[in-house]
Amino acid sequence: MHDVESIEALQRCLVVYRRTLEFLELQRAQFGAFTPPYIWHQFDDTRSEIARVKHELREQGIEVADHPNDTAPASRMLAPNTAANDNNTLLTAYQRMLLAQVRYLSLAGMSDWHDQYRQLADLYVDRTLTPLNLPLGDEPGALAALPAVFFARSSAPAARLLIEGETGSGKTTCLHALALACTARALNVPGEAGGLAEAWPEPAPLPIVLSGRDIAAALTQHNAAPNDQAMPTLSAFWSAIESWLQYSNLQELVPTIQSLLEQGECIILIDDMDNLPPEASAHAFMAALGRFVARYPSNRFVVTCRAFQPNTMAPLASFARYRLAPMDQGQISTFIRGWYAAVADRAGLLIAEDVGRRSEQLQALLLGDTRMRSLVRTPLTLALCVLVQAEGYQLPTNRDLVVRRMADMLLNGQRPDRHDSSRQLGQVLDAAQLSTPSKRLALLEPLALAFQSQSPPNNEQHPALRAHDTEELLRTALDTLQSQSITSTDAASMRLLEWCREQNLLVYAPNDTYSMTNVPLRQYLAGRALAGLADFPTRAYERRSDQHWHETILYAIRELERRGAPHVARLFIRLLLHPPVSDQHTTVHDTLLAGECLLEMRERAWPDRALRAEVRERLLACVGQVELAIPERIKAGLLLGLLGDPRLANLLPPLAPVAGSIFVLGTTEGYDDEGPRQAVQVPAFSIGIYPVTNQEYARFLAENPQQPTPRHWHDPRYNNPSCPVVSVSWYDANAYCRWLTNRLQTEGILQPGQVVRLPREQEWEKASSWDAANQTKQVFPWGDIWSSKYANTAEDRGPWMTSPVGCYPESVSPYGLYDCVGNVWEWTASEYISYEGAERPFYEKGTYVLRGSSHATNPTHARCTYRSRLPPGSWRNHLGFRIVVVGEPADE
Amino acid sequence: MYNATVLIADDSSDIRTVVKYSLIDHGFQVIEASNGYEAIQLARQYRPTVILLDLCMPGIDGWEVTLQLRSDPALDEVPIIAMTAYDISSAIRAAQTAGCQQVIAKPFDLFDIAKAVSHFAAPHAELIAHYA
Repeated sequence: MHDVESIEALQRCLVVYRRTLEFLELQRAQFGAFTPPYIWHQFDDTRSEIARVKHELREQGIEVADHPNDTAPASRMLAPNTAANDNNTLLTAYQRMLLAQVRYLSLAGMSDWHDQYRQLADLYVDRTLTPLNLPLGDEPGALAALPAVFFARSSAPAARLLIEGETGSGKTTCLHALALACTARALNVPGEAGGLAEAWPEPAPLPIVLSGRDIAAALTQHNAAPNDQAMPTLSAFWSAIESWLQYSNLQELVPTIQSLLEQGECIILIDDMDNLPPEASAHAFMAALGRFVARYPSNRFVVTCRAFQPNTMAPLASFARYRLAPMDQGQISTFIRGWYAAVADRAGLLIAEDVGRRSEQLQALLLGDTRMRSLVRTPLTLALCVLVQAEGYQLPTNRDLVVRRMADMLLNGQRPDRHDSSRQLGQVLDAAQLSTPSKRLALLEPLALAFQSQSPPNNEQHPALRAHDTEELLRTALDTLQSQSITSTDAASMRLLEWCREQNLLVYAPNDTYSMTNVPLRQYLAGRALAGLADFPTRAYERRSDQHWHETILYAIRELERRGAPHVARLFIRLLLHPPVSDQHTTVHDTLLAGECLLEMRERAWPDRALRAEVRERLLACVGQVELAIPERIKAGLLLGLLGDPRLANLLPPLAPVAGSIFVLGTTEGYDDEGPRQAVQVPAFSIGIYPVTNQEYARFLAENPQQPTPRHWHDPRYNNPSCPVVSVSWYDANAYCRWLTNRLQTEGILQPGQVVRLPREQEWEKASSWDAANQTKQVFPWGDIWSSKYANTAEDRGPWMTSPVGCYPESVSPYGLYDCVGNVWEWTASEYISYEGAERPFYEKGTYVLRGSSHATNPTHARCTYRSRLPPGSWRNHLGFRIVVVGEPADE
Repeated sequence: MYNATVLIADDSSDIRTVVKYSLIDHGFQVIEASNGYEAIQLARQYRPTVILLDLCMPGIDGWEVTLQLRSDPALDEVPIIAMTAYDISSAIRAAQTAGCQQVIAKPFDLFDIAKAVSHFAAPHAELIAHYA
């Protein structure tokens, strides 16, 4: 037997040592060629410790994967620069410097954690590129844009790519990944770049990474210098490259790079081309770039920008334009898994299963929640979601944190992966008053509210404001701040507007209007502004039925709660429940909104029990209201579950008594095993009117820690407290019944002799299909005619998911059972055996019958007599159970 | 030698016969269905190891059969190999959406059929060998 504890301790040690190595690597990267010896010594010590731990673990028979960092790379010692007179040594030093610069991705601003670097290779996800124009002679087959296209194109000699993408769409990461792939390939350290380096054919070109701002700065400097007349624009590029090399003490490399450029062996990566400082001339910049490309035509160029502007970017007409496509489901999954694995140890998740579970949870959340899906349009916001969740905040409840961080990053003008790409807002306005992040947000809040107040022309377009009004609003916002250091509000507001356009916060349209295209940001800022209004309840009430305002109101509620003013939010909820005009009825929409608002306010703002009880009561009424559309009933049910379902509050679930009598079992119209039709005597029993729900099963799990949690227990699509429990085996179901019997007997609710167990087939079929009053058998619980509106089956529903119990009130059986057909298959206590008198008798020992069909079932199988079966250890995400209580109370 | 049952559903008796004897040669037990309804009926009854399904059949066609089989927990994990003469790329997408594991274009090579069936039946055979 292994000593489990010591193995776990050793594994933890290994994680910690590897983390130490990464930290050392980071320090080494910062020191570059001047790394002090003590760091190398620490490297050696840590590596020998890792070797020891791995040896010990392997001794114990535990498999340990090797990590490329575990052993020292062959040529780790760099020759000091002063001694390097050989070009190759210098080039290697350059490539090492580049590797050190691009191999890490900074999380600054994205997370509260202090160690904010992660390896790019661990996080990079291959992105899809949509071609926007194809230069002449290009094969039309390239339309199917894949990462392979990206590599094939940019690795072809003289390839010129222009990659467009909005803020946070991963342009810089793509460029860095390219540079990383080239350098890792050239230095022959494939482990550094993950799978990227393999994609690169030999020989890899030499990457030169520049940002638009670097070049523009050099350009401005050059134009100012009076004596540089020869080729100012071309040499501006050179001085940008030179100053970059100088910064790293590698200026001796300039002639080498020049000759490589002449030979066409470089790849020039220019980031953020349209993000130039205001004093730079975009035309001069583009002309310079055009000349540089013309001067060194045989090199590869990859340029990124937010959007192609035909008038200024004309010199780039020869570039093949691509747009970074939004990530698809597979990429999102890979992204989440990669990020979770990279931040796992920081988040305190040292066990691989925990990491997998959390990342699956997030993926399921993104699949099931439309609000979250609209939030994670870009990799930036997706990464923020991962980090917010990894830090221990619940999503989607805390989605405002994600937007808040995004807003802070955008308004600070500081992106984590860039050195000094943009100016901060404080610099633009030169105002000490803007020192806190909240004040920076406050500057744009009224504007966002004004945008939000404009109704959008249609669902596709963004609401727009006239340019004049926009300027006016910004000026007012600046005035409100009453900052003394902003001397001229007019000039400041123009600078602010300029800056907002630069940061893509405001988008200018040719019809002299502005719009805010970042929808989550607009909704969040508008929500904050709304929360700050003195007449919030009435203002929000006026807009409650506008779908366009829905998310904004919820953000406002959350903001009020954060600002310590839940009473204002409660006023709004009361207003929803009791409309001011007496002849007006509360609509379903208002009730649902009240429920959502209450949820936004979290636990500690809930002491108003009366309000909560009232909302629950209204929601419960919605669930059972036949006139409502199914999605509304389901939404009411889900909210009810999250707020605490009163139907399931008792230990003994609601039961329907079924008197002992003869009933007709089976049918002649189904498959062979459903017949022959015959009369059967069934003794009296009581059956749960709903399948067992997650809320009830949670009690069982809490009291039985040894009981394994069902497979989908943490999946947000299935784990609403009001939804039936799924993915339980027959054994789990029986264990639940035994536990419930004991508990109920202890509490004195059940008499000795009464037990809780799974229903037998006959019991289930009688309770669901027998109409005792008319002595008739029905095909479906509600009658003999099928309707997809009466049951949660695969017909007419988009994503297959369980629905809260009781959401299909029309489907109630004569005995009062809900969800018999549809929602989840239900385990029974009966083995799969032919009925008496069957033409072809059979008996499948050890498999148990399932009844009732599910949300994943075709309506062809949705009827009371249909019999499916499974071995008792099986589970499905559409398989649950309901209980029966049988037995006469034992006589005293 | 596999202890595995294969259900062949195809409306052409020629194809059924050819495939059947080829699979028997490879050591499979074979049951045959000539239409969709029969295929569902037999699949429910025998729970075969692998189902070979023609997508184009009169009455209940192959896609509908797949949907119905996938609706039943007892059969939702049985591998289904679809055979089709339709334009292959669109058929693959449609059949995989419905729940088929593999699509084989008609006219097919008997070797491909046997290979595909063995591929899906192999885990089963290994298990049997393991517990024997």
